Amino acid sequence: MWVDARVSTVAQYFQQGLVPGQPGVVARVDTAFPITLAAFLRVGAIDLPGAADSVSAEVSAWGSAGPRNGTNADADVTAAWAQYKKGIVRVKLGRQVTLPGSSRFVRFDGAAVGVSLGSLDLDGYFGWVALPRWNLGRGATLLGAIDRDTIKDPLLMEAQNRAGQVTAGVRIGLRLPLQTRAALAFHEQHDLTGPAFRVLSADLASQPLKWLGAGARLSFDLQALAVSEARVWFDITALPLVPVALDYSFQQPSLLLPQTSVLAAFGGASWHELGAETTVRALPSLKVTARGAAQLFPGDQTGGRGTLRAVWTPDLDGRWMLLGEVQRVLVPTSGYSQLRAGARWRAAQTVTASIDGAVFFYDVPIHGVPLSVTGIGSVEWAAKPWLRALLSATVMRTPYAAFEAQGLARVIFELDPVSSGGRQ
Amino acid sequence: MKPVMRDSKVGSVAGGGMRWLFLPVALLLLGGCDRGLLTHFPHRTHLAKIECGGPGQPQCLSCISCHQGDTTKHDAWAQPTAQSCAGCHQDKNTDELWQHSVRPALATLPAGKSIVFSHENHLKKEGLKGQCVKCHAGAVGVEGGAPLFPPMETCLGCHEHREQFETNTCTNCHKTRDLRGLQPQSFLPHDAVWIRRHGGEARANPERCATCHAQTNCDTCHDSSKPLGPATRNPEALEANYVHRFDFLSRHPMEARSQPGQCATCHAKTECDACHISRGVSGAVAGGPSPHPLAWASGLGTAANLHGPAARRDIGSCASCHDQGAATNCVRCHKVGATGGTPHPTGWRSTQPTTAIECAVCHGGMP
Repeated sequence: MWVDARVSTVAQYFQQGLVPGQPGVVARVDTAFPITLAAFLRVGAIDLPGAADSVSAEVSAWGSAGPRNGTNADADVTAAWAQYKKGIVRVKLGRQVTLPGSSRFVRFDGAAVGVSLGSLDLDGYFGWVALPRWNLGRGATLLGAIDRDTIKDPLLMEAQNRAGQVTAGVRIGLRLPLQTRAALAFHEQHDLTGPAFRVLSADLASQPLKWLGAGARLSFDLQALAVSEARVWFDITALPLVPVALDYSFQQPSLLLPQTSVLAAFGGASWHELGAETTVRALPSLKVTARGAAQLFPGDQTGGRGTLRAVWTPDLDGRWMLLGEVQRVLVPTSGYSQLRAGARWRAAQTVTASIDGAVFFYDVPIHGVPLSVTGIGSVEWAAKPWLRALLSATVMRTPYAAFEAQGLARVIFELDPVSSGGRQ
Repeated sequence: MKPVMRDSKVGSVAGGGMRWLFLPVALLLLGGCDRGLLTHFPHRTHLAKIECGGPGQPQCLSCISCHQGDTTKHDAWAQPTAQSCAGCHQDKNTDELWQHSVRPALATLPAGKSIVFSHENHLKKEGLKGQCVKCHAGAVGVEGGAPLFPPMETCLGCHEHREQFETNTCTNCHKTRDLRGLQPQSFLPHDAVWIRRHGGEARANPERCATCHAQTNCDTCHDSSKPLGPATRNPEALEANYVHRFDFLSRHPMEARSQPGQCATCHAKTECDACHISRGVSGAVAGGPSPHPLAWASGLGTAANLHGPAARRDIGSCASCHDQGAATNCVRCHKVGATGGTPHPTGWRSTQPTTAIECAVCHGGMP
């Protein structure tokens, strides 16, 4: 049996102006010092009689106290599940995440069952949707709404009631020669007013040649009878020193809305993106990554994104790491360019310092301000293998703040440093 | 050898005009040095360059002269101790010698290196003939050469593990505990393009992800419920591809327009307005400003239809504020019989009957 645990506490200090108000009105500025605590526990390889290494479990939650964004306290449970696995069968109960057949991942409280029969994998799940915030009402605001008196059906208010918000899905996966995997999946998700998502999806991945990997995924909305999302990608390693990845993606945003939304019927436009990426290790210590993508939007409008990043780690121990990045984003009506530089220095075995700064140049000034200048500095002390403390300061000059400064202190207790873990 | 005469003129040009190149080139060369050898210990000298075996000479060394662990044990690594040095270096401070031979950062066995492995069985193989360096080439290697600990690719030179990869059967060689500290290189490399690939892989084989990762790992980036974004929580993670790094507040309308629908990967449609309201920049707040230009949908001249193409392009952005069912203000003009005309795009289809609640708000039938 192994145990993996982490408790992360973050204290912030900043000032916030919650209501800018009308032009010329001085906004009230409050000092805020919220504290956020996130805890995570995972256990695995638990033996049951007759079933060694059969049980694993995970619990993860966070809580926050102190004024932030108009609330004084908040909390949520993000994972709470236990899994039993023996032979070809696995059963998982509790709050978990699934994405077998949906365009987007779904968090739910329920059960997932999987069976592997030779090269065939069968998976199914059912449960109550854990909305992004189960304790926060959806559709709680009425911006631009017509007179409230005209609302006759309270269901249309999307009041928070999880009783009818269920999800279920199945997936059939097949492993084939040439390192090929194919799968067909169905996902259904209900809002209070009916089926929000009813999606059939298929995915395929293969490596037909040693130097070529390829894959594709397609989601088909069964209510709108249209493709909501599709992706195709190729990994080409014919030149090992210059591996290239090509990808194409298609999306129809209106179909990513719940189909119970009135507005899902208002969309219909789609957009396309064709991208390429490569990472070249120019020297053993220097890694250069370049990515470019061209986009086609409705009305023959075009856009694009490009990034060039170089990471240099001059010594094997990772004592220094230097990073430089240039980015350009072209969007119809406005875009931006970014210049970024960062460095991390392990000053001693237990002390690491980092600085990270960027300048953003906006094609169209925001509130008359053409750029943002931001910088972050941090010092981390690994007091013990299981205890790390970090102090950080951020300064910014943005279209929304002539000068902004924030302070942050973070303490992490980590029970198992072996874990690749996740930053909390 | 005939001496090479330097052209003073060329030298002068190089020294003056190209001098600026010297520093970065020197830095790059320095960066390339000392990579690949995971220890300071001069393995090559001890194994191949010491006069040995003859009269008056020390005994010839092999790997197991110092690495004297039990090779029958699966996880035997047998790091030598200062005592190992004392056998020959009787006149020196062997503690100091030993300290110098080990890199501080690597003084302990790296995570995941303790694989289930029998050195004894492998050394008996015909292809190896008792030679440790066939796998541990880095022990006598050169700068930038093979690593001291063989990568999994070395194992794959003899063992075909494709089936194990596909069925997530890793524990025949790796310890369950170690898997969480490993990053695949030979198979499923988490390289630069991985970030674009990981969703599909996770969808296809979530059990494989779970071999190493917790669900919390996904939440590190994807969970929008946390009040602190990952870029704020982890300011030291410079290499991470965080979406919201730095001044995202100013960029977020551009990012949303650049990749319509992408925000919905993590954010619910109501989150936009919830955030705008909390910051007082929503029409729902008294005195709050509207994000739309004047005459956005006033019915005056050409400006009247500005909102139409915008809605066609990314209705999700509209829904982030204007999605209140029958109370949605879009319905007021676009319902059947009203002046706004049909909102459905060309070729629009639905399997829903017009009596369905979301249809009925425009098509009649609402009580």
